[in-house]
Amino acid sequence: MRILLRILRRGGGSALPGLLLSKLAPGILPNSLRSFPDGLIVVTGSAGKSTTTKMLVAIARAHGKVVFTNPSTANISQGFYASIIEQAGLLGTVEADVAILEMDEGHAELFTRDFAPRQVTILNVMEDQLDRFVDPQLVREALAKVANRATSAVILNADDQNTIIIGKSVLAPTTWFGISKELLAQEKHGLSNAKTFLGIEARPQPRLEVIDRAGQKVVAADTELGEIAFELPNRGLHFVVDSAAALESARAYLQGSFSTQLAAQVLNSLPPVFARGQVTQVNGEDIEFILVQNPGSTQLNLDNLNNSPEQIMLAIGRDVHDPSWLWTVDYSNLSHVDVVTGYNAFEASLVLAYNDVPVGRTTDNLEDGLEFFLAMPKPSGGVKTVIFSADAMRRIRRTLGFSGPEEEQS
Amino acid sequence: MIKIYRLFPDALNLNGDAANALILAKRLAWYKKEATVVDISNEGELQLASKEILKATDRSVVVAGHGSLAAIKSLAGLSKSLRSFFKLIDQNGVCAILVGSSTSWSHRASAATQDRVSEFVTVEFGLPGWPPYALGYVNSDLRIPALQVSNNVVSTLLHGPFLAKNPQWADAIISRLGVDVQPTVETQAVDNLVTAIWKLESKKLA
Repeated sequence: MRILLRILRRGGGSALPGLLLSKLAPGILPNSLRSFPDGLIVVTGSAGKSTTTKMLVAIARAHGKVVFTNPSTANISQGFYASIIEQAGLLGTVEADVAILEMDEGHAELFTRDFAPRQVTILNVMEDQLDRFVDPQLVREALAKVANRATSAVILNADDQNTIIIGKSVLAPTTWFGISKELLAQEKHGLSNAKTFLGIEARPQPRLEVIDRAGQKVVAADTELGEIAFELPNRGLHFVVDSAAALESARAYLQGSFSTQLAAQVLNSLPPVFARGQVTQVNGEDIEFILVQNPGSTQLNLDNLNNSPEQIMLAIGRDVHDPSWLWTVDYSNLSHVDVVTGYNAFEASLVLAYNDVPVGRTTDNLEDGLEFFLAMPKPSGGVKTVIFSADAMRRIRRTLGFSGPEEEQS
Repeated sequence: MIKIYRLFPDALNLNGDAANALILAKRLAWYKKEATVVDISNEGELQLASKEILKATDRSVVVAGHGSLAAIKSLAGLSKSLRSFFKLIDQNGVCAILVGSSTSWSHRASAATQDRVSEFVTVEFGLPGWPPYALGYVNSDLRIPALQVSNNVVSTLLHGPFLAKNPQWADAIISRLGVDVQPTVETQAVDNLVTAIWKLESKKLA
């Protein structure tokens, strides 16, 4: 096993080693998970998995837990095996108290058939990747199965009718996180969760609710532990939702040892996540990078744009297999776009044209588009803003020489 | 004034299908023809629209999109009315575009299923008076042709903004409303983008 891991580790950074390990030694992952005294915690849902998992892992580690986890780009089975390759010791085993894994909605249902999680957090159900998942109802039904395999606790979003429906069938003790009605009312398009077309279910009382927000400063209230004030490294309501999910998930896991003070310290000191509204320097110029992945995240990000950016680039890459969803977004917050680029540049420009958003230049050559945008004189106010899909983000990061999975570049 | 009747836009817009009304409205505006979008969101509005459409068959067009399983289920009580509605507009030569799951209300649809297809496709079409090709994304398990036309009712499994990627189909509908579809600066600008999309997708499909 040690030799096998050593050989596979040389191919780190690609999906192949994880896939090979899953074929050659399929038992290594369940055996590792079984060896963790606190078992497996699953974080899943349509959006926010990476951020919530990172926050939860950081809080658990601050409380002294040794955590086995996966990077955001590895949230399917072969990614879990790749994480084993990266984190296994010399004896081919992973030493940890608990596994906290972000799981793709589809793979979570498959994976938990064979390995029951101790705790499951479900963030939301959105109209996301319909070319894969077909219909939001099917996603909700799959996530309900995952929730029902939890042995100790289920943590659900009180502001998503889909998760409320899931909660009705869950057997394990369930607690809720949420955003106050007043804060939600400030969002033009709400949280963009998938409509259920059923009667409105009453909102469950959240154990943890975000009650105030000013910029990146957030105040949450736990019904028993009181208020928790902290400052997030990124802006946007979706980060606030993720932080609420992470706090309640951490409290449910750590129980009596959970410290609100320590949790707040962890959230205060989290490094910014790349491309989540983070301003990064490129060639001495500040640029804001914003990742969009589905109609919901695109809408939330457009609604939360800093004022009205003077210079904007939109890059939609090959990861958007079916660009039809671009037509479900309200672009009224976009005054113009200077450059539209990426594999789906013409699709994106077509949507903008019919929505009366002026476009300066359209090119499917991402490198050319980026070069043109970066060569534009600095804006007279604010910063250049790049909005991109995941594939375009990866290619732009490569082009700009950024390294590492997702951390802030300096 | 041309009226574009958009059926249940809150429910039938899973893949941006409601934008087909926007595309017709924009192109009509670019052809200097006044148009308005009228939303139909309940049975009363459907009945009212039926009467209005029959009074002005040559100045009406109906747009219906693809809905989620839950959305279609929520409209199940109206299924009979919707079938009658589409039968009526078909028989009276009214123009309509039905996309994705709403094709189940056109009398040409079938409930037979096959393995799900989720991909970009080009469709050849041989009916005189209509464009010979269409491009779009199919994500369906229905065993029916991807594109069907009965009188002036176009039913397609190519979901989402079908008319955006197929402006010749949009113009084929618009010309049936008696509008001259001579290219304008605006239509040429968007149609150039469509040409680029077709080239890209054709390369991929090849």
